[in-house]
Amino acid sequence: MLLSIEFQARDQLLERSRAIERCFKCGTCALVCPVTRYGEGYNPRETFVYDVLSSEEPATNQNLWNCALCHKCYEVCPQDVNIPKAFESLKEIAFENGWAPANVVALVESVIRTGTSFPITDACRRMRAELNLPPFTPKGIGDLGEIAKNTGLEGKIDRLKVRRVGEGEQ
Amino acid sequence: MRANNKYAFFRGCLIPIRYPHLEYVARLILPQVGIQLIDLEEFTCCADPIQFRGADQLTWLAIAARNICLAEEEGLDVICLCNGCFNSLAVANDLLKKEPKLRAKVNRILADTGHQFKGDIEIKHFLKAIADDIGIERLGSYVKAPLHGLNIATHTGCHLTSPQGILGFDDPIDPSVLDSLVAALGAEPVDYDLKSLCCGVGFSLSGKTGASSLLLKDKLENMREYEADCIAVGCPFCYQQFDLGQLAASRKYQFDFKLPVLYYLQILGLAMGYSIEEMQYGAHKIKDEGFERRLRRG
Repeated sequence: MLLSIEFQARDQLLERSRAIERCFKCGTCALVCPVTRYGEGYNPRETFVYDVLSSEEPATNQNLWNCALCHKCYEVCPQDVNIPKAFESLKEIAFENGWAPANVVALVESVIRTGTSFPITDACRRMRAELNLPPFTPKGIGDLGEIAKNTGLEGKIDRLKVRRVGEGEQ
Repeated sequence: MRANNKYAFFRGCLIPIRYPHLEYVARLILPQVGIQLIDLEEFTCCADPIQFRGADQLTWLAIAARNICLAEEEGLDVICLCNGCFNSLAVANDLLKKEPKLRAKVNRILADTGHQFKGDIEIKHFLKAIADDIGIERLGSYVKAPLHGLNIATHTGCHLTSPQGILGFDDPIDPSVLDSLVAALGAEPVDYDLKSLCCGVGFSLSGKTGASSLLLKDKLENMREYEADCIAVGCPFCYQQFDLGQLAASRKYQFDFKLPVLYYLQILGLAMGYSIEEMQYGAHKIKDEGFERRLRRG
């Protein structure tokens, strides 16, 4: 593995996606990666994938969240490294540790509490009425609460909140 | 495909909340080409295959599984209007069908909700349903006003095609199905260079509007270079980028053109003889007189 992964969670990441050991830094992923092409500060030698995977603590690297998991890198990788899977694992580690951006935490909470990713606004209600569409009122939210309790997500969110309040007091 | 091409109608969040005009068009057009939509009230957010899936994979899988169960209980396949919903539900469906241990784990999580994943239905994107159930050949029989002379740059989007091994819809690096679907309506698909480049919604979602605008500048200018009159998409996130995102990019880079984006079902509706107003073009941010003239001439 040529990627210089030197960080605490290294074993944790390798356990989840062993394939990243096969990377030999050929840079093929950079040819198709929209984040490398349009994100700030990248070039063919300093690509998005290397930026994230070579940081000391990749899960704390906020650029990680620019990856839209488009899977183009996965489709072209000659070494069959599942980069999106590694990134997903890093996002999960980041979320557990409270390193995810606030808007991601808000999105996750919105889904389990309201059943949608976006707030239902007055504009939405008005547009639907004008088109004679029935009101959009997601049901089944109770089930999502049960799911989040059973997977431990509810507990994770509570712990993140406690930590944020604690940090706020310092 | 099941009897009568009946599907559980999975609208997602973005269309019913921000783009209800696209839901209106879907409800109007799909039944007329023989695709019946059955509303299931208990459907929730898919959840999304980018941030939610990353943040908590097990919860993502369980939420997707619950949505799939609702359709299974009605004996229906699912039809999606959004690449993201399709990706989440189809990938989850595949994972749960192939991995019995994971299925057992998810079913334990779902036990309190009264639902259990069985694995006996398919998930389809509406473009896949049109290509499979109607077929590109037969689609022409619905065309009353062929879109001759209209040049369309198609944008298939990432999450409809990747991972190809699971979704099996089209080639993610060189997509062509959407081109065939617009050609079947008499329009001319333009073969531009940046066809497989992402719409950039990932940047918008993480607040990187500069990167989003720069990407859109390249992509839109490339479409114009190949003389596109409009863009065709099958995903509300891509639609948002090319409509609202184009407005932002155009302000920043002072484009000397406007390239309207149409959801494929709007284009199909136009070819079936509906007017551009009936296809809810009035709700679009990006409108262009050249495009409107070209349509009227056709």
